[in-house]
Amino acid sequence: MDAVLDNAVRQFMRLPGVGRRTAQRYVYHLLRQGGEQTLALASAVEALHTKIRLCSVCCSLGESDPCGICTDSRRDASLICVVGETSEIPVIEATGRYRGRYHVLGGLLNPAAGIGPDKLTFSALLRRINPQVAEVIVALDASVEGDTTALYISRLLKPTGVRVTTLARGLPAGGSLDHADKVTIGLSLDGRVQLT
Amino acid sequence: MHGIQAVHLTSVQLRGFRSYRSASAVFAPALNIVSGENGQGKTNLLEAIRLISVGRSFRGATDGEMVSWGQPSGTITGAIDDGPVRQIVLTIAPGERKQGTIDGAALNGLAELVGVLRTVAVSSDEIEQQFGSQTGRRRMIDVMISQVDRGYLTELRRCRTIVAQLNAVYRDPANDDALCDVLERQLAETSLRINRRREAFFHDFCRAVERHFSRLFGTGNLVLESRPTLPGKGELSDLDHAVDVLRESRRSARRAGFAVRGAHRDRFRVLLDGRDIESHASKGQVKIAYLAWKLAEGDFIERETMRSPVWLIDDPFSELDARRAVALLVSAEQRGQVILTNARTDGVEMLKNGHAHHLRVHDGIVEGGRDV
Ligand SMILES: [Zn+2]
Repeated sequence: MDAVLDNAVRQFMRLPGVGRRTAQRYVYHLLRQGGEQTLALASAVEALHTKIRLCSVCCSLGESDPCGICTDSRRDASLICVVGETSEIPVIEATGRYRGRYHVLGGLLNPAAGIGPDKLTFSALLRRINPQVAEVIVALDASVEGDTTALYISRLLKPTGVRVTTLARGLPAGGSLDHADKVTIGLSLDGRVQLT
Repeated sequence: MHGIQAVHLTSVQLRGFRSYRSASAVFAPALNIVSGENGQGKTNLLEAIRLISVGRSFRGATDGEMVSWGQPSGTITGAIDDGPVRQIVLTIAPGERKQGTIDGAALNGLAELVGVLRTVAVSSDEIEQQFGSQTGRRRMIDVMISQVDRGYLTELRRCRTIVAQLNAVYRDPANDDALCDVLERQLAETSLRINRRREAFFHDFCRAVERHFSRLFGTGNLVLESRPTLPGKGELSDLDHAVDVLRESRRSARRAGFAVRGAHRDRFRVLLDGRDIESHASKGQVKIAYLAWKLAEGDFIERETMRSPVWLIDDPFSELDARRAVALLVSAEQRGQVILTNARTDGVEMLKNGHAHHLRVHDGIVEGGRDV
């Protein structure tokens, strides 16, 4: 295969769930569909790199730094809700029950997949804890990885003395947060409990 | 036994499975005898039935090995009379996840399959690959309990995930003690839950194995013994103790590169007159102990579910002397459906109860239907 084609296939194969055959299908599809759409895809991908940034406070991904939530003075700065990914913030927001701030870890602890504490934003979270912060709410998937991460945070924050809570288990075991309905997540927020 | 509902496999269809390009077999509710020359696929038929029962080959085969040569995938369809008739469809393909349906609804993971068709499999492969070692017996126990308790299977999977995470941390030169603390606590929790279930199972099971051993097969004192690697019987107060033990073994776990204690490492000994059977018993004695274990598996499934298991017995007459083979078959047949393979015919004639459904396997085809 030509070096150009081969390189394109390799780049697609780095995406989750894409194997060589699927990557080849994508590449030949792009070649067939004409230059305009391929360039539109390229510039959309490029904009992810140039326009989207990490909020230096909460580590969420968005177009401004600090992000809209971190700069919103009406939000309660004494509450921090910890989520795995930026995409989970709208899920909590949709419950209409939470007016605090967020912290995005950028994933869940998964040492077997090479995701150790250094790959996530734990130290940024620790730096945010000051006497103004009354409570950290850990809102993660009800999976082994979610539990590991929640317990790890509880241990990490213990010396600060801040209250650490986690969502009550109304979530289905093994379920991921974006698939749960608003009511369930709302109830889980109400029934949050102290992490030991 | 009183109030035990008979469950039986009424038919099975195989497509692209081992020696079967396309075949189907119909079974009678009691004794079924599958005969045929060696290498014609008798054992493959039992393997397929066991696969839709527990999601795993009793020969430890991979999906790639079970799909017929030159076929992209293999499909097994089983119909089960459990009061209502239930249908299981399972499709396997090399390197892909098993997929299937139960009563037409798509399986959401292989765990949903387990417990629909409950089987006791008797095969010489299992004696060698599983029964002959303390860890193999743990796997046999896990499959057995999973067949009657879905929650147990979920807990086993949770344990496996935690162990994989912990092993990665132990191997990591960064030596993150905080992460070890967290994962060891999770391992202790899941191990104690698993142990509690195993303990509840084990007491009655041991007595049944011992009883079958002496009643059917003669002298000698057979004893089963569980050797958990973490202390405690699952009480909440045991958790801190178990966590401490894991922390104390952390250095050796790091050296080994894996979690050396936990429910995934527990061992089950079988002692004949006080000595381990794997090192001190004859091959014949091991076989007898294995059969006693199998009969106790049947007891366990009946007691827990009030339903009879389906017995899958691979070629007993080549493995056992005729008297013991017949004793096994009579005992199994009194309790439910038996599907047995047999290369010879003389052994079967020794069964006093001559009423059996005969199937014949030849060249990837199952012929059957004759009532003898
Ligand atoms: Zn922010």
